[in-house]
Amino acid sequence: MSSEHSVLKQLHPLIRPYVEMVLRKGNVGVCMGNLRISDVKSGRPTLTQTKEPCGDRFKIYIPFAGDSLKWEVIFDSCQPSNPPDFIFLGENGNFDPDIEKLENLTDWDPKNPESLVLVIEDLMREYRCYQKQLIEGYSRLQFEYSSLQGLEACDDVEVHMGNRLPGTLDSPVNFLIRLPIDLSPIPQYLVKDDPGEDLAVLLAKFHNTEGLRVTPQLFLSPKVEHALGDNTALRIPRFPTGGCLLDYVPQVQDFLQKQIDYIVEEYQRRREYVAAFISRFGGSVLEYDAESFTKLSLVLEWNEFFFVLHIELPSRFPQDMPVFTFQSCYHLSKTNGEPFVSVQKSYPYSPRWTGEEMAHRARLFILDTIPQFQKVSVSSTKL
Amino acid sequence: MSSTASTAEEEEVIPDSTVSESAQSESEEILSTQEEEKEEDAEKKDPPRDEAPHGESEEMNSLASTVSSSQDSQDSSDGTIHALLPKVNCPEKIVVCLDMSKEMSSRHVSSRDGSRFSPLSLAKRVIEIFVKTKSRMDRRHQFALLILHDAPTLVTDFTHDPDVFCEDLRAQEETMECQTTFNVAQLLQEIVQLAPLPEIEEVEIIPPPYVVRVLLMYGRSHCVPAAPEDSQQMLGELLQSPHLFLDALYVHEPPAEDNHSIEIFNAICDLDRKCLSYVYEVATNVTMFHNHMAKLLAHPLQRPTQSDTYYKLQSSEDVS
Repeated sequence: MSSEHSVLKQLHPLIRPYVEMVLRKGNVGVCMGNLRISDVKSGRPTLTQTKEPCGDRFKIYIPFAGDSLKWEVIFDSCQPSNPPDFIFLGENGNFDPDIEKLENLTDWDPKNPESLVLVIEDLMREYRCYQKQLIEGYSRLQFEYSSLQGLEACDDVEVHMGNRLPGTLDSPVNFLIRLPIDLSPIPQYLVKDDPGEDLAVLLAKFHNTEGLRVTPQLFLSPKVEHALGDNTALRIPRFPTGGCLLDYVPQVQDFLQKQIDYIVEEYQRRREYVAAFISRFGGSVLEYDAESFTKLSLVLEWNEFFFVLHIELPSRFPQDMPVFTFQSCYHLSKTNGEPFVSVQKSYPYSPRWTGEEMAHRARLFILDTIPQFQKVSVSSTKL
Repeated sequence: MSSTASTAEEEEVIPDSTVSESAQSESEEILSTQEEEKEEDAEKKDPPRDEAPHGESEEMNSLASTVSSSQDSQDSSDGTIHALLPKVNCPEKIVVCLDMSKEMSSRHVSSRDGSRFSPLSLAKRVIEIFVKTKSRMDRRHQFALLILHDAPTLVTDFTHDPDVFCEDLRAQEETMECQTTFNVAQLLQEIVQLAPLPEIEEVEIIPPPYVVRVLLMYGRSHCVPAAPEDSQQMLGELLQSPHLFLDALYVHEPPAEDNHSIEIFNAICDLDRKCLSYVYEVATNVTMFHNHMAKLLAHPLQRPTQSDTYYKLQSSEDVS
């Protein structure tokens, strides 16, 4: 990352290792979005002779509960082994952690490059407590938060109370809920090109502390998005008016699980179909899609007339029926120079049949169709 | 050295629409068909299966795991068992080797409707259908064209585009008298330079990025393909490579005292060291020529062995 690289370059060499570690390992909390560091400055009164970089203070943006916390971290490049100071900017201005609870700060170890990571973890822990305390004053929010603890459909939750809305006593509150998601049943080809984690988080924005208006949003990591289809996040169930997270979160969890089950089932149905055709027509196989099982081609003979059959499975198989394309091995079409084809999109079919039944019925359909195909392919390609 | 242009023809091939017992078969065709049958019976055959599809669980297993089961290993001609690669439809790099010796244009065969074709014009026609069909099945397949005179000459380097390939193919008109030897080893050596074989450690498990398939369209009835002594070993090694496949369609004069059709056919079959090749031959039957080319569409990693091929769609009255 070039921005990270430029940040690191500007820092004093003895401070750089701490920040490098933060950039590498600073995954704190539910983590929707990337931790960012910018605005490197120096607190030195003078420049050094060697003109080495002397940046020793910077801003850090930490994603939390759908918002971004903005803190300033202040080292001293003249005394690089001293622990840093922190300023909590913006709406976090009232955050005032008890320093006794920040063990990694009070026992700062300058030799451990992970020291800053550990302090930030301490601070995040305290910040979460601080947020929890904030909502304690609001019975509705308190209820929502505590009801999520220990809920199976909820792996982790962050709550964040934003700035008070002008002219009211109300503040918007974000609940960021990490949902358990297991992509392991998904067929390999859908996920193999996406490294990274399986992540699904639900952001529930409470527009006021009464919880009368809640806007839900689902965020999926790229891997999950590709596996389930890019529209999935847009189709989550509505948040019911007057509803609560205790009921809603399991609904969303259920919805996700159904998407996974659906993908797996569709894949298995396609696989079963292709397997059944290979079993029945194994001696005639030309090639088939061995990864996602969306197509298969055979060469068949009827009364010494050879022909090729291409079968394509649509994305909504088995609700939608496969397309059969009969192709001549003797003739090119006069119109486009391509082998003569006849496409059949409609034939006796039921999505409830097993793959074997579909193969059996397909054979009957082919036998019915081929005499006509032969006639047409011969006559329509004559001069 | 003389060269002949292939005769231009516009007539279409009409495949047989009647069963073979029809009394209207030309006597010439019956004769050559019988000769062909003799040859085929003696060497490679396509035996019809006499029962319902068997080995279902085998098919299911290999489909399920995409790793071939040990039951699928084949006994080769020298008795060693060759492991099979995973049954994946990886892209093929297909090298079409089109014989452009004089014989390809100096004789003619007739189709049912009386149209006359030279082996060369037939070959060009079926290759075009082949390439376009293959490309339709998977756009990742690539095609290269080598023409064979005394030595192979590259006409078209690997391309995904069937139209580019077919344009170069259609332009091949000049056949030449060739010497009495044809060096198979040299041909294969040039091919692996054109298409280096993938290097995979665990060939039975790891799907290759592609396989190389040689499609030999050989048309000489007097020149036996062979390899000089000092190339035998290299040839043997190449023919054993797991990712190289050699298929052939041999078009020849009907076997007679004054030609070597049978010997040549045997020599080509001998090149099938792994017992995974598809080798076909045809003398005069135009329809058969097309049929064999259609069978050659099969992907080397997913197709049955030639002896296990079975294409007949039984009629509805038969037990399914």
